[in-house]
Amino acid sequence: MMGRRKSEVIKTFTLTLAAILVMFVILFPVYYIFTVSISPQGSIATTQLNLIPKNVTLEPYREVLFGLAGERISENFTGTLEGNAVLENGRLYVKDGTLSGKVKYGPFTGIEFSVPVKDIQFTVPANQKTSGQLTAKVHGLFILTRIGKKNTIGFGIIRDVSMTSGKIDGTPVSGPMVKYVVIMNKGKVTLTTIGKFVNSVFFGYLKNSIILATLTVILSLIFVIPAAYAFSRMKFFGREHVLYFYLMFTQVAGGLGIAGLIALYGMLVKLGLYNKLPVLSFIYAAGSVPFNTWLLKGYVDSISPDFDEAALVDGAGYLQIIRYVLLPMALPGIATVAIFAFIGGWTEFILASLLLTQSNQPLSVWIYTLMGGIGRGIQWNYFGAAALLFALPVFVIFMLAQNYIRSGLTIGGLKE
Amino acid sequence: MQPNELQVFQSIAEEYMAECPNVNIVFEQKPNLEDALKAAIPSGQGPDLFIWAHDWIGKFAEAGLLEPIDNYVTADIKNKFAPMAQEAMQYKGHYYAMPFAAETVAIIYNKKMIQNPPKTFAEMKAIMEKYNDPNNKKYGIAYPINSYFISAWAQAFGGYYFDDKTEQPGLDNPATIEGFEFFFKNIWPYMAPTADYNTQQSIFLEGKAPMMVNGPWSIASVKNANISFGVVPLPPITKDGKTYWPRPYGGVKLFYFAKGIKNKDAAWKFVKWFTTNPQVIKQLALQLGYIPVLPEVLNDPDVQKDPVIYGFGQAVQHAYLMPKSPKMGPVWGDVDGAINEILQNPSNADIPAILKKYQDKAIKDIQGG
Amino acid sequence: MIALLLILPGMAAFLFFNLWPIIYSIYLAFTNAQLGNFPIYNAAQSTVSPMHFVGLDNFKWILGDDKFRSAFMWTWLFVFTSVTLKVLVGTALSLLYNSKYVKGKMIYRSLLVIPWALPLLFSVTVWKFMFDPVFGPINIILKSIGVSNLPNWTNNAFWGFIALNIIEVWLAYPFMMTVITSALQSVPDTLVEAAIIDGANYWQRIRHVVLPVVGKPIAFATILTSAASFQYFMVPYIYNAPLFEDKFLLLYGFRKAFGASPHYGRAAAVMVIATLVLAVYMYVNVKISKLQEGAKG
Repeated sequence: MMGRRKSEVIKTFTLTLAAILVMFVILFPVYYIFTVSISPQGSIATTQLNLIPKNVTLEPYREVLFGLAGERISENFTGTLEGNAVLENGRLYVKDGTLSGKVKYGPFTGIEFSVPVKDIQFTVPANQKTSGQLTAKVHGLFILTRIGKKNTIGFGIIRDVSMTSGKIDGTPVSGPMVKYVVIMNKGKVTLTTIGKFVNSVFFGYLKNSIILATLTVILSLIFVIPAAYAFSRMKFFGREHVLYFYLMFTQVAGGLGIAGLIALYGMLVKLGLYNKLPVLSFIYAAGSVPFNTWLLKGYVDSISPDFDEAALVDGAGYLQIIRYVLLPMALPGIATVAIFAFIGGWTEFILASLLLTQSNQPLSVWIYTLMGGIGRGIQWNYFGAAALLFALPVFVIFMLAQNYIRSGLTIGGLKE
Repeated sequence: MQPNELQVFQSIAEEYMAECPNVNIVFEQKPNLEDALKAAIPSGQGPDLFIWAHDWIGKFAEAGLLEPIDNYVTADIKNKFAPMAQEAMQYKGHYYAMPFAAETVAIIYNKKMIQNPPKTFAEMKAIMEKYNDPNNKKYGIAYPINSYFISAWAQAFGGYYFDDKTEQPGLDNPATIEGFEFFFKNIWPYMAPTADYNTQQSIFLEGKAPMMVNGPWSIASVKNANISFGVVPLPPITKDGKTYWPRPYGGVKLFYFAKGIKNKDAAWKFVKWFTTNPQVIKQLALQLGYIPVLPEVLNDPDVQKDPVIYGFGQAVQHAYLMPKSPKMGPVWGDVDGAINEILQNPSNADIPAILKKYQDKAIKDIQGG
Repeated sequence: MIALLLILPGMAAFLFFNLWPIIYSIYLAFTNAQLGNFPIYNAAQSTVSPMHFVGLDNFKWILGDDKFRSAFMWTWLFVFTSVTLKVLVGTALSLLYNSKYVKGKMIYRSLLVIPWALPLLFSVTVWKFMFDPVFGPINIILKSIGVSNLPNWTNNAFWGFIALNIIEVWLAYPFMMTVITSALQSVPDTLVEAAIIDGANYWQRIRHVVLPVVGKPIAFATILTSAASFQYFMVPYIYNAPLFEDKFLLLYGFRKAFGASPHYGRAAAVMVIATLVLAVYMYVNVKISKLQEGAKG
C-alpha cells in the first residue's frame, strides 16, 4: 500500500516537472517577447542574451494601455480664465493669464488642464474702456494630440472659446474669443482614471474586439450545432454531397485573394453593409461554417446514439433530444467550436481592416497597423507589450472554457 | 506610420483645422494600405488623399487609381521643391502627388567610438578594420543586407538595378557587377555574417560596432539607446584617380491624390499648405527627422544644426530616385534572389555569373515570364 | 426536411457571404485581369486590353512552368514532414497535459495556447531572430553545449527547411492540442476503468479505448493541418523569401503572377489549382478514414 502511494507521488512529481520544463522550452519565444516588452530599449534583437533582463520597466505597458498613441482628444471643456487685461473698443485684450479647464464625461471629471496664455482677444459688446484683473468663466473645445514629459501639454489647441461671465475691474464682459490658442510644450494636463480609460486607444479597440468575437461565437454556435447534429445523426438526401462541398471550403480565407476581397467589398457596399461590426461577425461565423460543422460532427459522432434512442423512447422530440441529451455530452466539442470561433473573431484582421473604419476596428487591426514599420522603425518594447496584452484575453477565455470541457459529462472524461 | 509620426501629422492638421474651421481632416490607418486602396477606390469608398513613398506612383497611375492635379501644379509651385522631389511627384507627364520628405540611407556613427567620421572610403575601411573582432563579437560595421540597402554600392560605379527610362534591368552591367563585388570584398568581411535587419541594428545599438548603415527611421531607436551619434553620407571611393560616390536608392514621401476624390479643392488647399509651408516642414524635420525637400528649410540654420537632418540631407544629394515604373516590382525580388545566392558562399561566390542569371530572370519576369 | 431546416441557417449564411467572392475569384482565373484593367480599366494610360475571357491561358501558363512543378513536389515534402511532426507533437503534448499526474494542467494548457493568439508576422519575425546564425539564441545555446559547426538557419536551404518545420509545429500545436484534448475529455471514464480492471497497461488502454473515440477528431485535424502546410506562403515569405521561392507552391505561384505588373488572373489560377489539388487530397483522406459517416451505435 505504501509502495503504491510512493510510486504515485514520484510519478506525479516527475511528470509535473516534465510538463513545466516542456512548457518553458516551447514558450521560450513568448518569454523572450515578454523580456523585450519590459525593457527600456525598443529593439527586438540583441547581441547578449540575458535570460533575466537587467533593466526592467513597465512603461511600455502603461503606454499601450493608457497612451494617446497618435489619436487625438477633442472634447468640450468648461473653465476659467484669469489674468491682466485691457478693455477698449469692443475688444478685450488679455495680455497674459492662465486658462484652466475641465472636461467631464457624464458626472465625472476626465481631464484637467491649465495653460499660460498671452495676447488673446475677445469680442465683447461693451463700450467701456478699462484695464485690470480679469476673472471669467469660459467654455470651448479642447484638443490634445500629445502629452509631453511630466504632464505638460506636448501639443494642443484650444478653440471655439466663449467667455460667459467675466468681470474686469467690476465691469461684466462676455463674448467669443478671436482665433484660437496653440499650446506647445507648455502648461499642464492630467487625465483622471476615467479620462484615461475613456480616451485610451487600447480600451476603445478592446471593446470592439470583445463585441466582434463574442458575436462571432454566438452566431457560430447557432449555425453549427443544429447542422452538426443533422449530419451526424440523420440520413437525408444530399447529406454526403453537402458534406463534401463543405470540406472543400473549410479553408475559405485561403481562397479569398485580392480578387475575392474586392468582390466582397463591392458587394457589401452595394448592400449598405459597409462599416458595421455585426456584419463582420456574420461573415466570420458564416465563413467558418464548413470547418466548424465538420469539427463538431466529429465530436457528436463519438456520442453513442443509444442515448438518443433512449430519449426517443421516452417521447422526446428532436430539439429536446438536442437540448437535454446531446448538448451536455457534446459540451467539450461545443466548447472547442466556441474557442475556434472566438480565436477566429479575435485575430482576424484582413477583412476587419477593409470593411471597417478606424473607430470601429478591433485590436487585431491596430496591432497589424503597428507592424507596418517592420524592417524600418518599430518600438519593439511597446509592440511586444501590445501583442501580449492582445493575447491575454484569449488565455482568459481558454481558462474559462476548460471548465466546460471538463465538467460537462455525466460519465466524466479522463478526469482533469 | 508609427504612432509618434502620426501624432505630429495630427497636430499639424489640428492647427490647419483651427485656422480653417469648416475643414475637417481625419487620418485613418490601414495595415495593408495597398489592398485597402485597391478595394475601396473602385467602390467609391476611397480616401481623398493617401501618404506613401513615391515608388507606387507608376503602378497606381497605370491602375487608374490616382487623380491628376495638373491644373493645380503651376510652374512656381513645382519649382519650390528640390529637383529629386519634382521628379518624384509626376509620372508619364502628369502630376498626381505633392512631396514632403525624402529619405535614404547613410552612415550613423557612434561618437564615443569614432571622433572623426570617415570622409573617404579608405578612412571608412580603416575604421572597420580597427574595430572588427569577431571572436569578441565586435564588428567593423552593422549593415542590414537586402536589395535596398546594398543599392548604394551596386550603383556606385555607374551600375544600376533598373533604368526607369528604358525600363530594363541592369544587373549584368559590368559597373553593377563591379559594385556588387566591391561590397562583398570590402564591406562584408567586416560585418557579422547575417543579413537580418533587426540583428544588425542591435549590434550597433549595443555598442558592438562603431557604424551602422540605416535610414532616418532608425534614429528614434538610436536615441533611445542613449548613443551619442552623428550622420554622414556613405563616403566616396577613390579608384584610379577618379572619385565614385555610392548612390543609394532614395525615396520621396508623397501626398497622393486618389481617384474618386470627393473634396478636391479643399484637399488641394491643405496639401499645398502642408508641403510648401516652411514652418510645417521644419516641424517634420526637427521632430521626426524627415529630410525636407524644400530647399529653404534645408538651409534653415536650426535645421542645419541638427546632425540627423544635416547628415541625411547630404546623403540625399547622392541618392538615386527609386524607379517609378511598375516593372521594377519583380526586379527587387530578383536582386534579393541574387544576394541570397551570393550569401550561400560570400567569399567565393561567382558574382558575375549569379548576376547574369538573375538579369535573365528579371527580363523574363518583367515580360510576365 | 427537419434535417434541411437544421442545416439551413449555416448553409445560407455561408453561401450569402462567400458564394459571390468565390465565384468571382474563379471567374478571374479565366480572364486576363491585371494591373491596368482591374479593378478599373484605365483606358487613358493602360497598355493592356480591357479585361476579357482568355480561357485556359492562365492555367497553361503556370502549369507549363517546370519550376512550378518542382515547387509542387517540394511542398508535398514539407507537408509530409511537418504534418508528421505536428501530429506526433500535438498528440504527445495532449497526453502529457491530460495526465492525472500533472498538477496545474489547466494553467499550463492555457499558457500554451498563447502562440495561437499572437500575430503571425510577429511570431515569425521573433523566430527569425531565434534562428539568427550569429546572435540567435538557438545557435548560442548550441555553441555553449559544444557544437562546433553552427548551422546557418537563415541562409541555408537545408537548415532553413528544418527551421520552417520547427516554426510550423510551434504555430500549429495549439490547434492540435485543443482538438485532441477535447477529444480526450470525451473518453468515458467507465471504459478506462474497465480496461484497467482487465489488466491493460497505459499503452494498451491508449490503443483500444482512447484511440477509437479520439480517432475521428484527430484524423480531421490532421487533414486540415496538412491543408495548412500545403498552402504555406506567409511564413516562408517573411522568413526568407528568396531562399524558399521555388520550394513552396503558393509562394512561387504568387511571386510569378505578381511579377511584372500584378496579374490577378494568373494569381487566381494558381489559387484554383491549389484548391483543386487540396480538394482531391481531402476527399481521398476523408473517404479513407470514413469521416463522412455519422454516429454508430
